[in-house]
Amino acid sequence: MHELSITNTIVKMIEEECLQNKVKNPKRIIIELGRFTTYSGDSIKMFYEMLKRESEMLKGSELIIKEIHGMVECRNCKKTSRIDDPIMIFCMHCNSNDVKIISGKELNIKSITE
Amino acid sequence: MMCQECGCEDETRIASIDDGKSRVIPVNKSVMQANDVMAHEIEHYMKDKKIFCINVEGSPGSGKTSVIEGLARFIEPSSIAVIQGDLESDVDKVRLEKAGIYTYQINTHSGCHLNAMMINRALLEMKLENKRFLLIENVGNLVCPAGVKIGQAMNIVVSSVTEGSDKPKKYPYIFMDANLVIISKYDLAKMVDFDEPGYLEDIKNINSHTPVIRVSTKDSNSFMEVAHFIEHKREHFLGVEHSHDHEQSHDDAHEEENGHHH
Repeated sequence: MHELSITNTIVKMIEEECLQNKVKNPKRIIIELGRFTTYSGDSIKMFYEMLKRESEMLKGSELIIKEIHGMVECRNCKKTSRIDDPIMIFCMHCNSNDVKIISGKELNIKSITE
Repeated sequence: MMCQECGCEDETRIASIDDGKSRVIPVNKSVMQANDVMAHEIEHYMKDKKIFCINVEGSPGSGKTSVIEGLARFIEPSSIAVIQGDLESDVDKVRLEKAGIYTYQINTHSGCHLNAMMINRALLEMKLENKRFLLIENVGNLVCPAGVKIGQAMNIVVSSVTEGSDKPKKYPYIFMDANLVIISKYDLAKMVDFDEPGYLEDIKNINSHTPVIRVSTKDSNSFMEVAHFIEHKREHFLGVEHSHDHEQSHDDAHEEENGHHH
């Protein structure tokens, strides 16, 4: 039920954005979901399909989930690396584990297409 | 997400619908925005009141409440306030009040983690005069509280030996954000064949800077190290001048984390 609550928030935010931007028929909403968040994109989409039925405005819309890669910046060599395995967080260039996570924790509404 | 025509990840192509009439409205807003704005206000409020706020996380039964009780042996109980989060009941509130700690109970009923709105509502009803620490015991859960800001200055993850040494590998996200990991029920480590070197290696691979402290309620002195650690963190938080004879090396990460330079 973790995703139900967050998808409810997403629905409310989309409705508000549509009102503010005078969007009458939203078709496609892009959601950015970071690799290191604990939300399941599939569950968000599933709950969205359920919740949108209660909204005149959103009935004909669909969510598209865009995954944002986990990225770190190395404090040792200053380069950035992509991290696909969250249990091995290292700089791919110099192997240091002294890194800072710079992306992968996002949950954003990126855009609405009418 | 790839565009079906050429396989590129061009988000304009993903967003637009090829009928020539569509328009794309950029939004670029975090879904957590309302929560995070509230969390930020709570942070300011805490700083103003000189209260160091700690988010205490861990599985159900990991020993979160015991850690708070243990701390109260080394930090004056009347200077600690607790917000306790559970789905139902006030079992832990009653327990902490017996130890002389002022506790506010949040029952989420079905919520699997605390959020900033819940903390704000609690703070409106709490009396925090003369408090130096606010310990927020989150809902027992290694998944959902991860990354949800509640106005805390620090995250502690309590991880008991009885849960097994593979928890960091299985639930890396909560360990990623930890500023301190506490291995609890340490007196049982041998009995459950706890693989400590493996556990520490996994923590280091996920979060190289988080210290690890072992505690046991059978050895009340084991909480002294945790008390010293959070006192030190509180001093950093308040920008208090302190001596440099502590163990933590003042490298970039420490300075970044604590917002100061030596």
